[in-house]
Amino acid sequence: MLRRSGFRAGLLLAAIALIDPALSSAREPGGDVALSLRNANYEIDVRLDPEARLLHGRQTVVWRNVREAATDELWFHLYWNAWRNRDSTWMREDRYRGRSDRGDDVDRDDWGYLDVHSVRLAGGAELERRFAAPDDGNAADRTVMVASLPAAVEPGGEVRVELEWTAKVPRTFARTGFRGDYYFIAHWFPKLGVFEGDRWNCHQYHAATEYFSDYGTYDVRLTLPEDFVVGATGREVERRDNGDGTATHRYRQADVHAFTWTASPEYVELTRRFEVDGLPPVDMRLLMQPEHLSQADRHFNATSAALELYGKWYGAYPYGHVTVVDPAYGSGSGGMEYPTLFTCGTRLYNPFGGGRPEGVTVHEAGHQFWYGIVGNDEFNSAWLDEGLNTFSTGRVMHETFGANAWVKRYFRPPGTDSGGFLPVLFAEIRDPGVISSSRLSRYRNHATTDVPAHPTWRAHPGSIGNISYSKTAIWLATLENYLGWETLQPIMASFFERWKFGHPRPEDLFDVFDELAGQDLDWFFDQVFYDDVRFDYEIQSVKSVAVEAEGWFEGDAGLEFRPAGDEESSDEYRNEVVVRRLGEGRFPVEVLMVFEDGSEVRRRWDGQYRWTLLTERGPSKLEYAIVDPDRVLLLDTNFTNNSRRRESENRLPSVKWASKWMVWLQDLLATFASFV
Amino acid sequence: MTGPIRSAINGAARLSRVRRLLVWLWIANLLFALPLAFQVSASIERSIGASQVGRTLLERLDLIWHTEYQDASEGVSATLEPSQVGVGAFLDNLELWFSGEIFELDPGLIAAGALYALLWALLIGGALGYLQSGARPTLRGFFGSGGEFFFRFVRVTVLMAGLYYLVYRFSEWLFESLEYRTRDVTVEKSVLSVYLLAAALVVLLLVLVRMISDYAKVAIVMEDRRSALLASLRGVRFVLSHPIGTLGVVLIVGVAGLVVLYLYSLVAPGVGQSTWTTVVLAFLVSQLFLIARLALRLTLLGAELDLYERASPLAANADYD
Repeated sequence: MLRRSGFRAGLLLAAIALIDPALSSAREPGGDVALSLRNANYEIDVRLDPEARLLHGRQTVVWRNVREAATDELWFHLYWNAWRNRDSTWMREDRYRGRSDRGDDVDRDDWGYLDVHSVRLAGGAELERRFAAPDDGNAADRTVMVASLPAAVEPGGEVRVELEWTAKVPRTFARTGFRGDYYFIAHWFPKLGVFEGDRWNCHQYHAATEYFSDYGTYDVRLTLPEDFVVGATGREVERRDNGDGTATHRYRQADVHAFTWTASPEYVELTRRFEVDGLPPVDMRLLMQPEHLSQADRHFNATSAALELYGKWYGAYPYGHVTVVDPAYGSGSGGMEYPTLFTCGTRLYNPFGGGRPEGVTVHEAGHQFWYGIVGNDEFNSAWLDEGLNTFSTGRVMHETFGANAWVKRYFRPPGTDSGGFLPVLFAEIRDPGVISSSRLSRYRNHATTDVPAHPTWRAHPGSIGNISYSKTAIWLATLENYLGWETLQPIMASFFERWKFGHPRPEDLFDVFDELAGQDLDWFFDQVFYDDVRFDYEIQSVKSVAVEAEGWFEGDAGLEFRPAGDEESSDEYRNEVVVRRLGEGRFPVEVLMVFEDGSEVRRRWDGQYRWTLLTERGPSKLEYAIVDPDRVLLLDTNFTNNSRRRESENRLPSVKWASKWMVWLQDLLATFASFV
Repeated sequence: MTGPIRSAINGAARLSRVRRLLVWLWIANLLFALPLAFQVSASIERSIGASQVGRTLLERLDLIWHTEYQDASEGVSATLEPSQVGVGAFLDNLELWFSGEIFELDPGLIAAGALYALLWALLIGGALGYLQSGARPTLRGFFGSGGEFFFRFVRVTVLMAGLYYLVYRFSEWLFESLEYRTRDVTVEKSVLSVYLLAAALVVLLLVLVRMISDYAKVAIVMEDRRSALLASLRGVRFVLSHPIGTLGVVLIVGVAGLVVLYLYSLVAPGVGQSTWTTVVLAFLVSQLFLIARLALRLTLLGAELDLYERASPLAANADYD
């Protein structure tokens, strides 16, 4: 079991950050109130050469040291160098994660890179720089660059550096790149890591991790072909036609930790205003593919649902605008979050009721809260945003759209990654829970593959997604069932309020639970976060025996033998239920006993020992028993064994479903016969 | 186009004269599927155990149970899918046939499919004989003629397997190439249009192989050809020399198949059967669809026989009792 004490320092640093006067009272020259520390600020001027697929960039970075230690280095992420060649750590990890992003199908022009030509102090000398590989020592990795400063930046001090660079836009890797004249450009410029304690938190780019940065103000000029429709983090504050077939778009946004943009001549721009009592209005800008225009309302509705419910549950969305991007077909850029902008992902045909694009839209809109506003370290604790957001997505979807119907997509051209083009919705088959059955299955299959407390970047890239997204969402849903939403919601709202525009650590969340849950939950977090135990409770046996059974009993004349009576006519039964804990995980559970006369008894069991016997005497025989009848413990990896009937009734249902399978088999056999 | 229409009508008429063939083929299909269905039923029964899930499964498909069942199952039992409800069963198999993934199924299912294909090679011989003669079918005659043609039909099937292999490899290459060539196309509708055209070509090639296979068998039955290779070449020649007729017959029967599928979609049982009566009734409704599918197959064979007969009037007729 890992110890939590190692993270306490983070809490202290975060507390220091919180009381920094710059956070709450700084007023920029423009008059806006700083919501964050704004200690990593960027001015970027970039020009896209669409023929060569190159970005030519000049940027000024103003970094303020908000920590208590000095540093004489600046560490930058150069994310796009992950796709510079096959020797990068990202490409190495991508090969063994089992879900290759691109596989071997990479042409010469598909690779990407970020080549920094110059790093100098503003108006000063060129800085020495080197590449670093702090995570795995991979000398071929170029995703982290260290620039040495001539003098240390003291606490509260500031440094201004200027960089020039060229970046080759890749054919999409990790949701960034081009397809035709569609561009989605994320994590594209030299970007500072986060100075924490006395060192830089600037990890190499890994195949299964995301990002971590300080908050700041971004002022970005994008020079692009003039017919391109542009979407970006922030608001467009200026557009200038250059008279040479290009236009320069200037976007500006404060209190964000990344800047992302997209451009395509095909986008259709739609706008709608989100207005709900008690929440600030938000201008929603939807950049839609023309062929998806009929689904515009669905995108707006899903975005509004997220803004409203996350806003009410956790805290208001503060930016006043959001750009919703419907990515181009096959671009691989869908389903991703960036500050004040996110990508959805729909298809030409997507029947309503199947959960898509609503689910992905709600999820990515929700990341504006968990990731955008609460900016956790995704290199080390990706679950803090992905898990909290997946849980919240499930709640929004459940509350707004109800149970999703099951959809299968047909016409998957062989040998392609196209997915099925033609969906069929099976309206009778529905997924009723906040946590979907497929998510439960993913967790079940990866319940013990990684420990969530282990740093995300060290986790197995093929399984960590199931831990970050599924396991976290499932234990949060379990806590909701255990504590009640009326307890959990204020906890999450407090965590949000306390850590908005900050960098919370796992302990910070647990501390809020400790404060507000009204009970010590360490026993729970020790199991679900610091360990990888599996939960599984079962009803092992259900029996009812007549109290007046045969045998020797004390009578008026001493021991008397009573022969076996008619058990059916007995007027009292001893009902016995054996409940077992099959997994290592422990959780208090209820056991429901339902009797033939319709009466019910609920008993609690602390779930600690390996088994327990529950008995009930009464006039009726047991019909069945269920451990955890309300499915509080969603972490249980086998729900089927949670219940048991005294007399099995499994013949008819098994024949029913086998008969349906048999019809499929008969048709399959006829298909085989068609080859004769 | 009157030729294929007439042949299709005559094909249906031939089938109507030997209706009991349909029953025999259906029973064969049913009996062949039963052992595996028992296996799956037992597997589901074990999974449910004495739990309350059984009750739920009578009302609906419990997706949580289904994922638990699938995660814990292996082999044939693990192939139970939600999409096998109603017309989804047919669509699943159509997808498997089109993509060639039918040969990537669980080995147990492939083995069953291969055995059934062998059985079908026996049955189809008997069926073709009676479809040609129109005589009242008897089991003895049915299996007699089936046995007579069995090995020749198997050899034809082996030859056609090579062609099918080539078509599926071509299909994979074609779609991979198209995916590469359309990798800068940002409009799904455009890509889908290209893929649909390619799919039409692949389906045409698959149907072409099927037609060659059918006419090779027709030639074996009608002309008592001994060589599977020569019969197959005869099939190739016949299809190429009568493209409208041969393809027209397939199209007409195909359209009839779409009509059957549509009608089935209106009455196809869902997931709500909760009594023995409704479970059996749902099963029987589905069997009607399978019988219709078999009837269409026999109609196609009858129509192909008719077309072949009319195009080759001197073809030798064999006698059958």
